[in-house]
Amino acid sequence: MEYVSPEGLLLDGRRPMEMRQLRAEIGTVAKADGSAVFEMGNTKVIAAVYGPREVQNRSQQMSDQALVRCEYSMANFSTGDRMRKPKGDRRSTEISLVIRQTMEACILTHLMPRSQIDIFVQVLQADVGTRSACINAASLALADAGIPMRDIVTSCSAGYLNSTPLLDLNYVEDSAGGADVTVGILPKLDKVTLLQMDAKLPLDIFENVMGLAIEGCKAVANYIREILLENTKQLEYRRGL
Amino acid sequence: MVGLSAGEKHFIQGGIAQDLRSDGRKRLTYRSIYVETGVIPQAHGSARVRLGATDVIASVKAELGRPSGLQPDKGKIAIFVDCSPTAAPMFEGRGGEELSTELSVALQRCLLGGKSGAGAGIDPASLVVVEGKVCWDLYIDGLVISSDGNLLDALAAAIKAALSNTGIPKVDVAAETTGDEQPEVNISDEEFLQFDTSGIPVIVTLTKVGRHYIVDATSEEESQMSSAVSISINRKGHICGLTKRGGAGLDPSIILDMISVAKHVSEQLLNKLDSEIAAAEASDEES
Amino acid sequence: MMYSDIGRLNCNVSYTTFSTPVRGQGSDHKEYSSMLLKALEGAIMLETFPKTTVDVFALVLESGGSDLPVVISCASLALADAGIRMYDLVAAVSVSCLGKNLVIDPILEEESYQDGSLILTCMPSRYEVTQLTFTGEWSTPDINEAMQLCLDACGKLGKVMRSCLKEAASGSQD
Repeated sequence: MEYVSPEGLLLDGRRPMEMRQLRAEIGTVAKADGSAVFEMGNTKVIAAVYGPREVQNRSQQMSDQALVRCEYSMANFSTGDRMRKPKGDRRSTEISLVIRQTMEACILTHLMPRSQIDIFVQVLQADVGTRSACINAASLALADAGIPMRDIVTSCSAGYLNSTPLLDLNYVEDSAGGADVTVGILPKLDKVTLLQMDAKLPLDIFENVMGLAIEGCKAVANYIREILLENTKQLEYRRGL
Repeated sequence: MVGLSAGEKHFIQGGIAQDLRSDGRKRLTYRSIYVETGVIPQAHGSARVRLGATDVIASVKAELGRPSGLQPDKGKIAIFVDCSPTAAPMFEGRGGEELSTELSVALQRCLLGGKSGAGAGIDPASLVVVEGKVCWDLYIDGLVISSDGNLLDALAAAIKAALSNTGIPKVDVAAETTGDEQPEVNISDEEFLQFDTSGIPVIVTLTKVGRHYIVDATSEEESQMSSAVSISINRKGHICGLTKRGGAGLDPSIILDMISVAKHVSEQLLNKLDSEIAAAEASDEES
Repeated sequence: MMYSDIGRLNCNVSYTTFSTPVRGQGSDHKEYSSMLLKALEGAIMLETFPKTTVDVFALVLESGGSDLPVVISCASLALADAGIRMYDLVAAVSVSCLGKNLVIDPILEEESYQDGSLILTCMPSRYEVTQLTFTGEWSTPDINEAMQLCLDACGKLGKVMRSCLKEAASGSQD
């Protein structure tokens, strides 16, 4: 099947270097310390951050740094076919772990010893790239909660189909079975904190695809920065400054 | 769990006794309701309802199935509720399961009527395609995103809105089949059937704090309750279900009084909700 | 588990595999467990046993309709037998609505055709309702009638339970 037309357009009319539409909103869960909704195309996730607060389970307390915890859950209606599976299956445990490790890398945990930060991400609509969307949402929520971070982590994926590197795959492109590279970066420090790939790619092409994903991350970072600035301006305005 | 000091508790209780609650409402006033429909494109119908800081999503999905042998002339409807950990850290892991089950059972009792289907908001007989062979199974999923008390009323309102938003594809049965054979069906992509949602009740929860009862309690107020009664009432003013929460015993005459108060409140709530749903549907179609 | 200055109550209702006409799963009944908890917690003086738990296990041997009311009444008798301090015994009765008729204490067949049902749990001597559920469509006069019917029945059931306890107590003294 042709995924890239001779004119260089994808099936949904995007160009190979074009991202799906991004949308973000801060402060959707009133009771949480920080929260955000992040949409990438048809993928929509909510993240809520509680903390830093007292450690719930004393045995997990660390005297030199904060404990970061993460739980990823999918709504019953988030996928095309309705599913009802118990919480904590292997896929969600793995994604929880990935998000936790990525976020832990950017939070200044040593500033908040003997405390705990909870990150909860809830998928409302699952298309492709829930991992990236969750990380972006969690970043925004952490920033909204005012938790000290080295930088804002952003994530994006890229793939390789019909000998063209594609940015931010959608459902049809992902199910075609090509390689899928998910990257998370700290844009200001220019460091990679997350790198995952399935399937195989020749080394030189991999570099290309990864470079494309990093470009995507930077675009997401710009967008997130805009949203945060806008939010701060609103807060400033409300305080009458 | 809500941690409140003795002073805060006293303030809440005193406010309720004087008919002026901490957010400025009277005892029988609801917070403003905000309805948005069509929020989950993958579902057949969906709605998001916000009641103050309480935020819930309901979605309706229909699947073709076989009616149960005991009731061949009826489709099946199931309601599930899930409490997302985003709403409160205590819902993490299996922590929300108890509350989820309690809410699911209460909603089933209040919205689906008796065993024979009398008093149900949606007539299960309308879901049958071929009697005894093919019917629609309706799965209603509720998700609590943010919780600030009065989840049951918000979920019931969201389900009502989601069902008004629901379109079930029209089904053509190919040919007459004999015996036990499953008939072939053709699901239309263009024609959709809408439900008549005027009969779906609303749930009014009356929370008893001290000697008085209030509607639409926030989680701070709920922590001070001695008991709460959730009553589902339809347009005709008939009671379609009732559940009581909280341990303290109530005098039977108080319960009857609560029912009559709830009836009065439900009329306003139904009107408000219907106009909100209509407005949401209109803006959904525009966009 | 967290410290608590009042006692905890833990309820569990389960069915045997042979309790229903069709061989069942014999699993726990979550819905009934939580209903049992709600019906009993208002009657028990939880503040008399801080930092401790009371477990109530109910096993339905044979299901013949009106299971939950029987489970609740039986559990309250068992609590009294165990010497747990309570404000009053808890008696429960259900009523089914079949067409225009109200049927008290319905059997399984009646329950499967009911248009609506009402389960009322009360403390007969204190005349207080601890738990009340309705399903199906009811008008106000019907509710009044059904509740009165249940309250009268609970009063009578309370007397029977009381005499049963007295008998057991006098029997054990001999």
